[in-house]
Amino acid sequence: MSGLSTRVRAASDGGRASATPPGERGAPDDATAPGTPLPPGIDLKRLAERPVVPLRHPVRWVITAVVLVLLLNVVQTLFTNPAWEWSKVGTWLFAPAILKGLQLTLVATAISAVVSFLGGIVVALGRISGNPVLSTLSWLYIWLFRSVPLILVLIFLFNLGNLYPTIGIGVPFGPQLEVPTFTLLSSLALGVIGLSLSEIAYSAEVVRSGILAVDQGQHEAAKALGIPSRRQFTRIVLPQALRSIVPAYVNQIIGLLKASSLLFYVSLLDLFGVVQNLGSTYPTDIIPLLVVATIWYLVLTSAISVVQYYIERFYARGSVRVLPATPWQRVRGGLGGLVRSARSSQSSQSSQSARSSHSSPGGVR
Amino acid sequence: MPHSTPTRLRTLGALAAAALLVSSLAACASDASATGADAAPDGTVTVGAHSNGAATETSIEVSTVESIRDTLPKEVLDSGKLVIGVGALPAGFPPLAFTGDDNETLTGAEPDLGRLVAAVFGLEPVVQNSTWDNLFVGIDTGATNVGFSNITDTEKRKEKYDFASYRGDNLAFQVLASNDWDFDGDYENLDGLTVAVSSGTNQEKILLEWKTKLEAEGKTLEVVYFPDANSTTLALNSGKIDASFGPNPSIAYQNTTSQSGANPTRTAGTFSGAGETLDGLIAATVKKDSGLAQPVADAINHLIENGQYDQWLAAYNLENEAVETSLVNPPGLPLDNN
Amino acid sequence: MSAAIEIHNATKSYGGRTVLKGVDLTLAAGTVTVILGPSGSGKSTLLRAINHLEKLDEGYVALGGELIGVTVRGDRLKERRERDILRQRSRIGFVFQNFNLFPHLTVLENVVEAPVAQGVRAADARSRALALLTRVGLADKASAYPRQLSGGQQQRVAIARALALDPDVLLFDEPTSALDPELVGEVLQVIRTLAGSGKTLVVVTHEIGFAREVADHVVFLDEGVLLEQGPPAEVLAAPRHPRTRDFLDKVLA
Repeated sequence: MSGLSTRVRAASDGGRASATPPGERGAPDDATAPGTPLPPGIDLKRLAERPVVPLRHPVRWVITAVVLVLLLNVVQTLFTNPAWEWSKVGTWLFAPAILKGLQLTLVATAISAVVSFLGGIVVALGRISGNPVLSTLSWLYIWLFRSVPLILVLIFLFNLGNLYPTIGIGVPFGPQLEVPTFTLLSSLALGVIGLSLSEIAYSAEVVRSGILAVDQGQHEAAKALGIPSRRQFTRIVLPQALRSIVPAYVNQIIGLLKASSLLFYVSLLDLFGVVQNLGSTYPTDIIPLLVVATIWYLVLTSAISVVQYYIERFYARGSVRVLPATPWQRVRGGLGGLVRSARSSQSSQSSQSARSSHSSPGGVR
Repeated sequence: MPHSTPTRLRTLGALAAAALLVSSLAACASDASATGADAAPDGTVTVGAHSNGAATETSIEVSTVESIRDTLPKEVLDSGKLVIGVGALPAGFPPLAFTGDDNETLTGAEPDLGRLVAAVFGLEPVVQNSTWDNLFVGIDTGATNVGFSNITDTEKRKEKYDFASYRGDNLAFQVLASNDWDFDGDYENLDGLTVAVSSGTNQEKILLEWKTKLEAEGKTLEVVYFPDANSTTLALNSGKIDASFGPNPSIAYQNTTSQSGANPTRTAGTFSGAGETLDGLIAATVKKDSGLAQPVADAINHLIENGQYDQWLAAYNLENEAVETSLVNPPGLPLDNN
Repeated sequence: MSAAIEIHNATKSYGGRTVLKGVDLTLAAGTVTVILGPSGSGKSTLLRAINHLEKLDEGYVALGGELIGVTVRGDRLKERRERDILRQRSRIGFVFQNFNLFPHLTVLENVVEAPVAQGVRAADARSRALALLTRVGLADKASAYPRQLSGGQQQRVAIARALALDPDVLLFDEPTSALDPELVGEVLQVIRTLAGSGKTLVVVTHEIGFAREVADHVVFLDEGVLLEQGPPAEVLAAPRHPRTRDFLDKVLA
């Protein structure tokens, strides 16, 4: 407390000795407090020729250490706690039933992702369009399917399928789709339609936000050049919109991947459904089965993230002067940098004159 | 256009990549639903197949009974199939209805009895697995002919469905083997416990009734719900709940399989599914006035008289749940018990 | 090839505020016109009305006798279909203050975009685009992306893009206002070379020196009213209207 008050006073009155209470003069901070005049006898010009010592962050290092220790503890339990039953995880990981569920998850997600993206563009265009009927209908569609939980959409769809021998589901403003019921295909079709109906509402908003993010000047320039409307959208607006659409939509796809676990409502078992189903037959294997599902979801999400990175990189062209390095390039560059910095700190040790720009922060001064 | 067109193709290519990344691991379309038909030779029904130890696989000889077949509604006869509804999604309830140890076949006592009944009718059995809710919707809409899914006969359900009873409804308390608590047929012993039960079931009604009585006496009983049997098992293993209250056969199965695991369980008392005054009954469930209840009851009685019924029960170790005769719409759990 | 521009009774208001009040203006074919005026005077609106980026409430713009964006229907002027307007715009090049190059396309792709969209053969569009880029001194930047260029270079690409369809008219909306001072000259130099090429040029700018040197005709607009017009020697050297004098004093101060 006294140290703080000293520092404040020293800062406010320029460190005049007469203003500092005699008892606090010895506080070590005084010499470095802002506003303190330079001690006599220092040759600033000489100091100016040496590299500035960067501020150290000891608290950061402590926090990092604590976090790493905690993390290590958790990782350790993964190996030492027998409840994980890793041998059973290994048995189930590639079990045909699990792979079948995984396949359904992938197929349902992939189809729904494509359908939802295209449908999302259509609904987004309807929402943006000047046509009041179209924009109201699009708004209503988004409102309805963002409000109704996916689980209800699926139950409702499944029951509609039971009530009618065939059921027509129309993509908004699109063609009607006639689906025969009670075949395996129709279960998948119902599931995909359910997922898509819900997902289109979200992707429409993602697409719309992307389109709105495109500078108005781009629309004007395209108009002024007399480019036909459709080409204005596909060639000028959409590619630029995709820059902000892609990250948001990949988020959606990852959500979709997990939302497909609700497909058991249309009597389909995806990855998680299979795990639940097997868990009831093998009550002692429930935990390993849940671990298997976790592993697969991690694998799938990682794969999607990698593809996302490259798609984003593709759409970043023109937006940044230099494209960011791929992780692989970064690893190679990082290794090269390390080698160079190691060499340079060695050389700086021997001769203080030559200093490479790659010298490491902790290098020898 | 060397400069424009390739760019557009690249754009489309990137879009397609976004979509295909998910499907690239999967080769073809899926058929995950567990609708299976029997491959047994004519006149024989195999029960207890792939049961993971829940049953002894048994071949039972059954032949078509024309006199019963003739009483079937015309639509069912014309279709040539008996659509048997089972509500075992996403998690099954062994040994009554569950995915077998080939991880594919829908097996269990319930669909197997449905297959036996279909054999008496001379119809092809088609087992339709769905969620519990969708099972009833399927019956409502006529997509499913008859539900064999451990459905308890209640007066409330009779407002919409007809029943043909086939099995006793015994309930049981499951506890960890390390727990020495016992029900002893007296609900007073539940004081202070936390018990899991499936929502929307008959056993839930019974448990809630006890809870009301206990609370009137100033005692407590906490009733908790889990989405499926797996979550209940995990909760029991971790000590979050003291006991689980469910169908006796399911709990017997879990007790058996758990002996090899880290947390063996045992049965700590049983109770009739209809309460203290009435024998609880499990019944085949058809749409009200569909004309199917009587033929189903006749078929089950035929199976009882000719011994196949006993073979079926014996295969699943369910002899203590046997009934003497199948009745159409026997008295069920009363309305005021809701 | 070029064409005269005739503007008659150009009137436009935004939400109750009138920005153009019945402007009449005729610009001879092949001339360079500079529109001056304080900010908010309606000069950009007038320029944008020429290629129908702004829709007039009343009045019309005609290019070589052809009405732009509207057609005669009975005793009224009626807006044309979007498709027809887009076709008419190919006769009118437009250069924006903020360049508005397409950032995801290379310089060359920017320039060939409009001709290709209009159905010009790809190879022809490409060779013409390279010729135009050479003309603005940027042939070596053909495969660069716009953000890799300086502001002055971007504006020169934008001019090449506007020329790609070989329009009769070129409109410049404050083409140097977004540029750092040292980059203004290179853009003005390009515009200067276009003067006398036969195209009708209309330039909204604050560069009085450029107007004095290059313009055939100077127009002064204030609060949506055309206050004064004439050769630069008259309007810039001896303005008759006090508001014109005020403006010139401020700009040249």
